[in-house]
Amino acid sequence: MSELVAYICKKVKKIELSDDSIIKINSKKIQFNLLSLDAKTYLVGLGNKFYEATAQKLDDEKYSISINGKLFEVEIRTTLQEKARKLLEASGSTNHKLEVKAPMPGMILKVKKRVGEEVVSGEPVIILEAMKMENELRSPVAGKLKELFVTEGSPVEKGIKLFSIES
Amino acid sequence: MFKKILIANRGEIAVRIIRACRELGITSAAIYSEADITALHTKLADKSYFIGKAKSSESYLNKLKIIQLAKKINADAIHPGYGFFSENDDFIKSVENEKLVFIGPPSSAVSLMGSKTAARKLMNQNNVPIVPGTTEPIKSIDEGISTAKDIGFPVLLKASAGGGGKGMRKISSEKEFVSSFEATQREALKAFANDSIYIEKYIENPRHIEVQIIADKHGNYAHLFERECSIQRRHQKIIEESPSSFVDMATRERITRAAINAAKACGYYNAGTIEFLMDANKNFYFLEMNTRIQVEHPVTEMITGIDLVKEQISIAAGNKLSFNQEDIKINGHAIECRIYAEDSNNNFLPSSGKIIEYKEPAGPGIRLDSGFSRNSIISVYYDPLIAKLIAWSGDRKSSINRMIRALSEYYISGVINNIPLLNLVLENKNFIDGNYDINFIENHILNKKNGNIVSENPDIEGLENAAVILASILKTKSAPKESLHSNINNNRWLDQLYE
Repeated sequence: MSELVAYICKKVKKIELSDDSIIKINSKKIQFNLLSLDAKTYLVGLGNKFYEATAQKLDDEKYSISINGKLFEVEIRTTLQEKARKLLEASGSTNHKLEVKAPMPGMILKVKKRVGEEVVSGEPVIILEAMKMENELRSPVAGKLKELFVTEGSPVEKGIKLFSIES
Repeated sequence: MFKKILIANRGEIAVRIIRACRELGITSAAIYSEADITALHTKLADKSYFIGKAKSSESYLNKLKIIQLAKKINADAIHPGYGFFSENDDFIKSVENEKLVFIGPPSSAVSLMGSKTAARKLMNQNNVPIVPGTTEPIKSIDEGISTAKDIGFPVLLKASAGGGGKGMRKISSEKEFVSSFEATQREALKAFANDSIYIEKYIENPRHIEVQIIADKHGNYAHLFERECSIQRRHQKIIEESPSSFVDMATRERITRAAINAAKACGYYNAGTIEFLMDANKNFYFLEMNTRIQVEHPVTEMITGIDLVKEQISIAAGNKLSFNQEDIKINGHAIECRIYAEDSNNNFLPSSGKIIEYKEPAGPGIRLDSGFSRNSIISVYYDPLIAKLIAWSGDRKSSINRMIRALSEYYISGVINNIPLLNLVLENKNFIDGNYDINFIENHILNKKNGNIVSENPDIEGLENAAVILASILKTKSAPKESLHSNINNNRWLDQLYE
């Protein structure tokens, strides 16, 4: 049996995986049927309902999974990995630092804040031009702009660190 | 008729034009950029020519290369689709100068209508009602502020060369003016290579009603009724229908007559659309004329039976309209959903990436105009439109139900898409009752606090469980067991073959 912890849609799920057809999610026993159709596509059966799924491995602990066309990002760790991560987090700095990454490749059109400046939650920090549109990238929390990793006019790839906010 | 047409576009509209060419027995020549080598239009065209790097300015907006290519391959005509060069009078003039035919209006009509301010002036002179505001571009920020104060806030800032909802901003107060003005200018310069801006009164809660017109080079004009395109986000349409549930017979008579007048005023030929804003009292105001085929043209095709793209080609070749106004009746009701690669829960941020799995809906009354397939890349360089899904039925309610059914069959994975948002609109009582305006998405669908869409998929628990199960298996095992059907040796017909 494997014990895992998954994060999906900001929710934590405790998982006990017994075999190829029985799983406990937050202590609820679920019988399932999982078939691989090709390298990236799967069929998941839960009771009398079938779901079409595709999966992409983002890194060792993260998968991008689409179920019936709805996209989920699932973080998944063994209980051991999860304990190690929590320890590491607790030993880090007391101030909480949040990094914002580029949601898509594009070009940095404008940087609206300077390092050290206060921002409120939802305030635009960077304007990223992509797909012929100006997209405001906002601070997810209130705090201070701690670091800025990009400059105006520079192209960025998806997932590149843009800025960090200390809250 | 033409023998060969160069299609100066990409995505679903390029595919749409290839299909029309094929039905007419015309050779279709597509162009593709580095990013589009696997795109559907590249594979579907009779001939496909590499045009340049992914960036539009080096490919689909490279005038010289496109015209040189058309000459080199002996194309008779160029179809511009929508966007890119479709409303660029300079491009049209160059095409005309090279003795090629532009499938669209004359450059003179495009210049007139391309400048939104000149168009407003012309409409005003021809008894087509316009929205109060300036008929000249604003020269300075000070002038803009004083004009805005005269008309009264809120006002809209609009790019004179704009259209399609790009380069447009609402300003509610004087203090927002400077930053909004500069942002609109930047966007306008980038999108339309022209940064002049004008001001219009902001009409509260209007509906967007537009009229499809079509005219030949012999002076025959016809309209193909109205489309309602009030369901918008970021000032861009996502659901369109025809006929409008709001427009009655008398209003239809008035608005289609105004549209024909507008087309005549600029000496128009080929397909075009006159866009109007309509207030709660069914007063309508000229917004702009789109001098091209529109994204939402299929709903008109479904209710009238006219193939607008084939008609465009025939008109460009010098033929008369293939029908008379009296022959055209509204048959049933059609609705279109634009399937965008974007995140409705994140300020409609476009999503890019590879489409890993893709299944299209089908069945009675369904049409899908798509530019992508499995393994296609939604590129960051272009518009995030994946496809247009169109449902037709005898009346509005049943075509809405048909659309909901078709959306439930549509499966796109690998990129985030707006199908959940479209479903919420189609199932909303106000939408079903025809009780909505252009602010519907903000007012009824988005959560005012966080901007996310209001409700969730009713089976969210099942979806999440399926995702968690798949992740658990992938994490702990190298691969799940394979489907028996993927193994060709298990095909019982194969055995019989060798018996």
